Amino acid sequence: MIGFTAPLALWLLPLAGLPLLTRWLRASAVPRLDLRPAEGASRTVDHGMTAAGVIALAALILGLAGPFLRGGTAPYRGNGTNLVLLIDRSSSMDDTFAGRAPDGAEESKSAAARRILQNFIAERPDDRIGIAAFSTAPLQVLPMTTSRTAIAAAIAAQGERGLSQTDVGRGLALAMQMTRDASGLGSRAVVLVSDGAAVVPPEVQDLVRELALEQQVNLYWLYLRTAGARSIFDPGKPGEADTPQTRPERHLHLLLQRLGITYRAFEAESPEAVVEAVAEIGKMETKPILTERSLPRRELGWLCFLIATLATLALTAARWLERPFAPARPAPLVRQP
Amino acid sequence: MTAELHLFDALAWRMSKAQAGLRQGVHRGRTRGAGEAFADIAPLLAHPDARRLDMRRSLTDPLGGFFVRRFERPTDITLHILVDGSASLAAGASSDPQGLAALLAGGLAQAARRGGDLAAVQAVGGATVLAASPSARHAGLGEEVRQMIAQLTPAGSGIGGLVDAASALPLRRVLVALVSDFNLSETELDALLASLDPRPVLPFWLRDSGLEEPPSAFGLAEVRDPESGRRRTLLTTRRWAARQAEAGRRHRTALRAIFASHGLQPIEIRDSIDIDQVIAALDEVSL
Repeated sequence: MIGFTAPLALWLLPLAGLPLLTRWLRASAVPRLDLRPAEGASRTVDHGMTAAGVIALAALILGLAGPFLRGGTAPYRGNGTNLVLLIDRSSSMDDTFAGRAPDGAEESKSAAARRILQNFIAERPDDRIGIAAFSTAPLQVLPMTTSRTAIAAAIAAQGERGLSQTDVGRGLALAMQMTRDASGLGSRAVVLVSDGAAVVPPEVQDLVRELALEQQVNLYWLYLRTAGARSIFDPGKPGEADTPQTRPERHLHLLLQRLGITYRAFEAESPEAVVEAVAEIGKMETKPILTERSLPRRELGWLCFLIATLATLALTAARWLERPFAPARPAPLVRQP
Repeated sequence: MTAELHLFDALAWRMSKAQAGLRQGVHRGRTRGAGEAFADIAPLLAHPDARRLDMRRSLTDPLGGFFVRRFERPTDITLHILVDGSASLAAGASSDPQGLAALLAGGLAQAARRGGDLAAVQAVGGATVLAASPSARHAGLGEEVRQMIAQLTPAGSGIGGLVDAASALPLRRVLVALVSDFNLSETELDALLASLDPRPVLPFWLRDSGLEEPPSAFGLAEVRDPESGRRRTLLTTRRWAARQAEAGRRHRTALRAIFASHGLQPIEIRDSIDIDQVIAALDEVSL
């Protein structure tokens, strides 16, 4: 769509018809043009000059009106996915993988996750990404968008100190709801980044199950395991207590496995392992996706002025080439002997 | 100014046919009377002029009748100068067509006066008569006519007015001098000459070498037809100039053929008047 910064100038456009009424070159009188042979080249030049005049004026007036192409979004088929990053904001994320407060040598789990996720999204330009966080309550940080700057800022904003609780069940529900905004074509994925879990109440389990079936999301759990914590894949020794209260991570894993959707869990005990896991997720979530590309507003005034300049140059050249049909040098009336 | 007009004093035209007319002039007359050219012999009773008794014829007449010699009474004619004053008369490059037409009309009027003929002028542009003067023979007529033609504003297009004026001219005792640039199509010229037809006609063709053969320099020339007002931009090249000149030559040849088909040979005036050429042409032409 074309817009104008000064649309009032368009009222001058009828002036562009002036070259149709007047001529550009000075005329010499030559009787009975209809009896003289007409040539195709001359006719072309004739029409071309009128056209150049009209174009020059019209382009000038259009240029004065300041045309621009409105920005917008254009649908575009890329390779990627509709991705919701569900980030754990519990306070334990602020510890290092070793379970200590971060010092200069080791970064915290959340800092490592942020850094790795930033790199991850930077390499995937076609993804539509939404961000949700959870701690005491789930929080939608950023609805699904293609804006890279918004995504990067939203991830960076997760650097604030976390809260105490871990409401992972409702966080999952929120993340799955957010995938409703996904584009029609393309897969949907939720990446849960957390270092722990909590008991998921039965009603929330039902909600998560329903949403998972409805949205058919691919679920990835990037479990940042602190040193010493039990693995989610470890079934435990026989006779050992295996309840959601004692081992919430393992039972969350079991719950997610039972959802009936593509699910994969990654355990990472170091930033390197996180990088590997994220790369693996990236490989699995590269599918055709219908996304949109934002188009910036584009000024077209220069184009108008360029056209006007070219047309004016053509008219100037015509003036430069102008000559009378025949030089007016009347002979004396009576020939002198 | 008048010096140029006097160059035309030597101009004379001789009519091939005897003209009916009573007024004294220099052309062969059809009436009998006092003159220098012998016409015939008539009985004295029929033509009672004893001064011109033909003694030889009377004496040898077996019946004893008396006969007199009769002479052609010279008479005058009216020179009708018809000037094509359509807008193209103002268009000239190597010539001044209006000045030429004015000088020619004035000179012809002057010559007519000198030769004892009357001169009438009509300048017609398009469908209107732009200027006219009745047949006259007074002193200063040439200059008057010249001024009249020089001061009119050429206007109009087509030959409608000229054809009307030509048809309205008298059929006898008249010589028509048609002064025009003959920027006409063949059919138009044919119609114009046909409208003049039984009358003796002296066509003066004002030609302009600049318009006929435009220079071949490369460039753009804007032209305007003074009659139709149509404008056109031309890309002038050597080839274009050659084609224009060639087309002009072909057109003039065709026009000459039309003149010839009416028994006429135009007196072509290219850029300026060559009096000697005009006099020679008038000597040759049969009217």
